[in-house]
Amino acid sequence: MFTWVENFIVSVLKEGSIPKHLAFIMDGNRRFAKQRQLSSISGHKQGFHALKETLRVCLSLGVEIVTVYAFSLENFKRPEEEVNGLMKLCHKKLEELNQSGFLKDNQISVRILGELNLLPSFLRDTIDKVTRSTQSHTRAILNVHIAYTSREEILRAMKCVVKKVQDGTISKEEITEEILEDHLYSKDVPDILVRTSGENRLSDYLLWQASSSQLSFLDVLWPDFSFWHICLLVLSFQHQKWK
Amino acid sequence: MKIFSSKMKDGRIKSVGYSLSLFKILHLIILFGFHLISQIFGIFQTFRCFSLLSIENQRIWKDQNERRKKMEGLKRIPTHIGLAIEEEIELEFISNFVSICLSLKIPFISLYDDQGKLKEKRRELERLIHSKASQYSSKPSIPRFHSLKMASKYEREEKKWTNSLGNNNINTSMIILCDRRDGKEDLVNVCKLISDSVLNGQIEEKDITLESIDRNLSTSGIPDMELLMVSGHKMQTNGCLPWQIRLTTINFIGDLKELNESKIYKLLERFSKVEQRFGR
Repeated sequence: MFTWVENFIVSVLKEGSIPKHLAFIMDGNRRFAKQRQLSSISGHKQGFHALKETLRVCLSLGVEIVTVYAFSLENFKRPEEEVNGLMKLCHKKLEELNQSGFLKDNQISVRILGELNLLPSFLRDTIDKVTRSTQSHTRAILNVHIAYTSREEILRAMKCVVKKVQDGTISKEEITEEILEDHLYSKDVPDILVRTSGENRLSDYLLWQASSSQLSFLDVLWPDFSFWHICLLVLSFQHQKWK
Repeated sequence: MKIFSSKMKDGRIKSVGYSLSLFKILHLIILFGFHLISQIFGIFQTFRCFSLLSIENQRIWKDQNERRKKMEGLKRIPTHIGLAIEEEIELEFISNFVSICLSLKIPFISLYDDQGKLKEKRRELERLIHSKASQYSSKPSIPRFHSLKMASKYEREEKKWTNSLGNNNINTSMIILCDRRDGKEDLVNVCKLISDSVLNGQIEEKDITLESIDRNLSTSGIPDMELLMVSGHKMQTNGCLPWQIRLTTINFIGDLKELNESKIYKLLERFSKVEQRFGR
């Protein structure tokens, strides 16, 4: 529940233009855990709470699409114990979100995007269940990128287009940026792409989609990302538009 | 006051109208306050940069040895540095930036503007850079200039850049001029080249890999940008080589005229301390 101060701030911010689509590179869970002498998984659990809070705030502001980078293909290089722990956590939290009614009450449609065939079968089953049960929801979209890198996404799109050229569905001359975009996992362009933890790199995330997005590199660890950070983001977005 | 205090039959509507006005006013005040703070911060930065600039200009002339030692103290210098210009093209400031990078012997220096005006002004830029080279280095090197252009046929082999003598031993820096067409449009071009090769039977679908895309882009053979400085105030890369900036450290530097040697040194110092985990 929001405090009256938060409600008030949200009402004020809604007087200006609200970004339609926010994307987040949720970086800093392990550093958060290390600072508090917790395990990595504990850091990721706190990161999930931050994600839920971010969703709640975005919904109240009227943001229509929230896109998050949950797990990169590069993250498979991490210790097996951590990767397995992350897969189990993802499965558990998706189940919780679905069963708690949070997704239904807020009419959030969940899309999980990435090389899902690389994920363990128990997680793929949960993903299938959650995406099916939420596909009719219309208030907001939550895109979660798992087992993803942007270059692999573009490569995959090219392969699909080349196959269509081979099949005769389209001709080589008809290949345009729009055709390639149609074959990406998602072509929604974020208004703002945010990376937490102070790192100022895209790390192979949404390279195509975010080429004209406002980038925001924040020096806050993801589990500490809060209502106030989102408000500042929205304010900076409104300021850019105002200028 | 009349609106707020008048009694109406549908008084409920009037009170809602009152709330809306208050929030709108508050929103404008907060937005203006935010703008004021950013302007003051910007003026402060400008003032600080101008004062540093005058000091630094003196240091360039009087103390090249000290400057060289300071730069050589950097643990790591990027192999490829980029400058994306989001505002009016001012060749004077761009050539200052390039000259500083040349004095550090950075092998690849990319200059990006989305409209391609830099490619049009290439000759003038070359002349300016040659004239400034000796300001920042006692032994200025003559860089090579290269304007990116899309490949016309599918490449199977990785390109090797050669110097003007045709040797693979590169010992001069390369200045690369690029624009929006070298980004997404180039990727579309690669897709077309690959389609052609598949249709002609030159390659199969399994041969379409990240490396085959790399080989056929206009930047083939050039290492990805490690550090990108973006001028202006839009805080976006504005279409700058999306494929090539996947691991690039991106810094927004504000007005290009404020990018002096001291600021570049600070950004390079920060860059040299970055440890990339590459997913681990």
